[in-house]
Amino acid sequence: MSKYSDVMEHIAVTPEMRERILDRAVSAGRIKARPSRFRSAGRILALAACLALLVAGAAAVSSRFAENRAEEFTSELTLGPSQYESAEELSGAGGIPIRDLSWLPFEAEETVYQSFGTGFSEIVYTGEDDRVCYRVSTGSGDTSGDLNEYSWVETRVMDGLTVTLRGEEGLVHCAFYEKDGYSFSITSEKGLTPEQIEKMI
Amino acid sequence: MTGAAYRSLSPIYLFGRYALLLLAPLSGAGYETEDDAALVREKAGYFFDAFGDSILRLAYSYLHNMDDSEEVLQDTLIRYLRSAPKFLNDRHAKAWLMRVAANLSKNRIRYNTIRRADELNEELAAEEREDLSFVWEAVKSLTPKYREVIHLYYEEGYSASEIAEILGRNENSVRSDMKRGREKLKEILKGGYDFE
Repeated sequence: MSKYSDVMEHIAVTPEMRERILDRAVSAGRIKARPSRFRSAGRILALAACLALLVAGAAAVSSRFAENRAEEFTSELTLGPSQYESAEELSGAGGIPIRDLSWLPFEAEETVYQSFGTGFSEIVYTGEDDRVCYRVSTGSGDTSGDLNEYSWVETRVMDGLTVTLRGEEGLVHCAFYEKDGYSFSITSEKGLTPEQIEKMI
Repeated sequence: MTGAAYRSLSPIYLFGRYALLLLAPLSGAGYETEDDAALVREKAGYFFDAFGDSILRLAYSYLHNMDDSEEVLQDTLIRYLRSAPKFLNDRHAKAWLMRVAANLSKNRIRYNTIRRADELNEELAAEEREDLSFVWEAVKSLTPKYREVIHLYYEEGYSASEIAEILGRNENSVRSDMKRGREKLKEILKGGYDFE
């Protein structure tokens, strides 16, 4: 067992936690009951289904059935943000005005346009050396979601905007500013110079 | 091939699974309102026994806080019970749940709604397990995109393609992040512990 697994062994669901979660979920009425129809019919049909399956045998379960289930599973996996093909589509669908960054310091091999409903929209550019996320949100302040603590924080005026830069050793990992009632942020995994940030906004 | 994999392919196991899949919607439509709590507890019991620890650990790997992780576990359970999805097998079910939990955790990070206390760190310190604290701090220092692939690979044993499916990411990007994550860990741990 790896040491990381040893670390994770310390995280486990306790009986108290289990009861707490169940109590909250049930008492909050967040899980709705289904209609109580077809109770008897359901049992009969269930038994019939079992008998039919016994006769047919599990080995005869068609690959078609399995494929259908697999497709069902795949469709159920589509959770999370809504994705779009372009900044124009994203801007129209999400209701938050957003356009592509005018400049990038690397060639983006993959660009993802996604909306998180009325909260925020973002464009994620991924290249060989870096990943930059450009986000536009309702609200104010730093809505980048970058919770890392950086040793360097500075505010600069860029193109008439007051931009807060957060990073380390002169490289910006998170920049944010406000404009026209929206909050904008640019985050970079690798880090960007303030000059590069200025060219991007 | 593991014993679990052999078991999952056996005709008896498949029969049981498909029979359950057929039965699920019928019996699901039949429960009375007064039985709801009991039924929820029964389904939740299976959820906790089969997947609870894995979901909680995944959430903790993102959020580093027990209260937040517990809420993610709770919200994942609620989605599981509400949507009552049908799966080919437990592995499919787990992948679906892990994806739900990963998305819920990342949304908390995105919305800056996580707490700061790290109970795991405190527990390891109290046990004087400096070696484990060292490993945890190293993994914790990684950015979420490296951390999530490292966790799913080392803790859950998923392949790069499975991780890509769970996280809704490109497989090549997962491989690349795993490589970079390992390199970063190697730099931090300086030979103190090898993640290979």
